[in-house]
Order: sequence, then C-alpha cells, then structure tokens
Amino acid sequence: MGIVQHQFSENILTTNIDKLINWSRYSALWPMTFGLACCAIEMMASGASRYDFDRFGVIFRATPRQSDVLIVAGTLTYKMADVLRKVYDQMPEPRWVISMGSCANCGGPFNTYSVVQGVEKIVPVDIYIPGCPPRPEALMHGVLKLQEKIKNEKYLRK
Amino acid sequence: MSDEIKNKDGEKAEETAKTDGTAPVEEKNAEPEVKKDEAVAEKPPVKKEVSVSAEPTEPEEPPYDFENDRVVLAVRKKFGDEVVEVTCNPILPDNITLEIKAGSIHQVCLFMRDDKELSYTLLSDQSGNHFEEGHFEVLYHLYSFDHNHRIRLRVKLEDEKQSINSVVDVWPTANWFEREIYDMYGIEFNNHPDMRRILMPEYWKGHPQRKDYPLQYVPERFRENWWKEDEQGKPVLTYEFLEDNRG
Repeated sequence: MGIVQHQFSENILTTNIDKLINWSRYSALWPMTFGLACCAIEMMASGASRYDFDRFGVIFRATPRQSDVLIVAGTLTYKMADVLRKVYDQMPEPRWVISMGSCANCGGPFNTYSVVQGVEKIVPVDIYIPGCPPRPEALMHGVLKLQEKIKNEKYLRK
Repeated sequence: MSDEIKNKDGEKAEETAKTDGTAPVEEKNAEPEVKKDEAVAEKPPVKKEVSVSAEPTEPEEPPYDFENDRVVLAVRKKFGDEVVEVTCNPILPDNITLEIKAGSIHQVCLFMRDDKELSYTLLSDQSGNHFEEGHFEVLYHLYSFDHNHRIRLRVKLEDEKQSINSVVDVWPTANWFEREIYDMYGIEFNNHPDMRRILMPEYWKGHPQRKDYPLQYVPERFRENWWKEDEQGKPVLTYEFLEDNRG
C-alpha cells in the first residue's frame, strides 16, 4: 500500500480488472425471453412485482441483440430448434444460457419424435433449473448461481 | 346396452330351459325363496342365469330408429348407393355417422350445406384415422345452426395413394384441417389450394400419426451434429448449417 497511498483524488477506486468486468456483467443480466410452454408463465411471474427480478438487474428484453442471457423456458420441438439456434447466434458475446424446467433439460415427459431431448443438443447451457415448472424462487436461484459463475470467470489472465 | 344383452340372454336361457321341461326348471318357475339354496346345490350354473333374469328391469326406451332419421332419408333419397353404411352410437342415440363413397364426398358435402332441410353450414372438425390393416378414414363433423343438429360423414380409403376431393370450396375452414390430415397421415386432397405440411417442419419425412411410425425419432440432420465444435472451437450446428441441410 505504501506506493499508491494518498496518490489519487477522491472518488477513485482501485480494483483488479477482471473483477470490474465481471461486476459490470453480472449486475445487469438482461435475459432474452424465450418462453415456449408453461415455464414461461413462471418466468413472467418472476419478472413481475411479487418476485421482482429488476432488483438483481435482470430486465427482460424482447430482442436478442440487447440480451446477455437466453432463458429457454419450456418444451423445445425440432421445428422450434432452428429458431432457438438463430436467436442464440444473434446474441452478442458474452452470452449465457439458462435451461429452465424438465422439458428444456432433457425433454421431460415428451420422449417423442418431435421434441428435442434437452436444449444442450442445440445450444451450450450454463445453468440447468429442475422442476415442472420451476417456481419463481427456483428461477431466481438459477440466476443467482449464474451470477456466481460469472463472478469467477477470468478474461484477462491465462 | 349391456343390460339389454344380458336380459336377452337370460330370457333365452329361460326359454331353452322351458322347452327341456326338466325337473329343476319347474322349481325355478315356482321360485320359492327358501328353496333357492337347494337349487344352488344341485345345479349352480343354471341358478345363476335365473338370478340374472329375475332382476327387476326398468322399461327402457326403444333404440333410436336412425335408419328413418330425417337426415339419413334425405341423403339416401338424393344419393342412393353412394351412402355405403349408416351407423349410430348407442350411447349417443342421435349421433349418426354416414359412410360415403370416396368419389362423391364433395357432392354430398355441397348438398349437406345447401339443402334447406339440412343446412350444415359449419364443418366443426375434420379428422383422419389409420388402421393397422392399412386403410385410412377421413371424418367430417358437421353442425347445423338452423336445426341444432350434428352429424358425421366418414370416407374410407384403401391406402394413402387413393385420392379424395378437397371440400375447401364448400367450407373454407377445411383448408387447415386437410393440411393437418395430410401432415399426420399422408392423405392428399385434390383441388386443395395449399397442400403442404402445417404442423411438422417442411423438411420432415414421414407422417407421424401412422401406425407404422416410430414413437421416438431424431431427424437425420440433428443426429450427427449434436453440440460439436470444429478445429477453431466454433460450433458446427449453427443456423447457417441448419439452413444448408434442409431436406
């Protein structure tokens, strides 16, 4: 501390750059709404005033160009798989994916010809949230876990 | 219905017993409550039948005479042999199904809509059916607002190659119904303005509601390229890749 002590004027913080970048990323996670089934209802409830995702900086966006995290909420069919991939490809990096609910995790009860058996077959997934559908608390827990994951990411160091 | 059958059987059994004229039958006809146990000891199966016939039965309404129904008579009068069969659900007595020959379904539908006495102005549903024997069915569920009456038309097709005329020009709502039947069963409708898949993606092969279709199935283009990365660490399964590999 001896070298930098009393060297800066007020309102200047010193920190390491990874922490700064990660702080700016996890504090404003804007999810792309990708509601496919009943999980979407729980996702809407999470965004509404009772659970209030805004206090985590989570604000739902209706466009992939302005979002950081893709919440896949519901049953993904093969017909919709192309669209999911298209939306994911349109999102700017860094981007994360939350797979919400049993259907998105592994196909759920729909082991059929038309349902994708897990969205990890289409896009890489960061957080899996179990439940059918998961309650808003579970989705909230998933978002907090994603924030923890982002906190530990390292961009500059090897 | 089942009660009716039972009763009939019971009556028959009684009649046969009467004609036999054997000793236990006389006992039954007398039917003293005390002696029943003895009858059981002697001939249990006969006694069973007697007990069934002895049950008090409520007088039932006679079954609906659907062959002489107003609608059936009108269609039969107009088309004659084109009506193959008339069936009626015993639980829903006025729920009649007319089986029509495949060639004349369009004329029949036009008649059902335009005739003043019928005026089935709504095609409330159109559905398909596939049987393990190999034949298909197309069903038309009609509703008449003027008469508050429902009826069904059924067309039997030998296989998916046998064509059937579209009824889109009769009821425009048949457009998507027929597309769905084509998608799920592979039955093609002649003169349909837009005969393509409606539920499954356009590249899809096969028709999922057929009996020989597998329950679990992964489309070919998805099979080999589940989440993979190429040498540069970029994903193989991008949207461009999917676009290029349609069909």
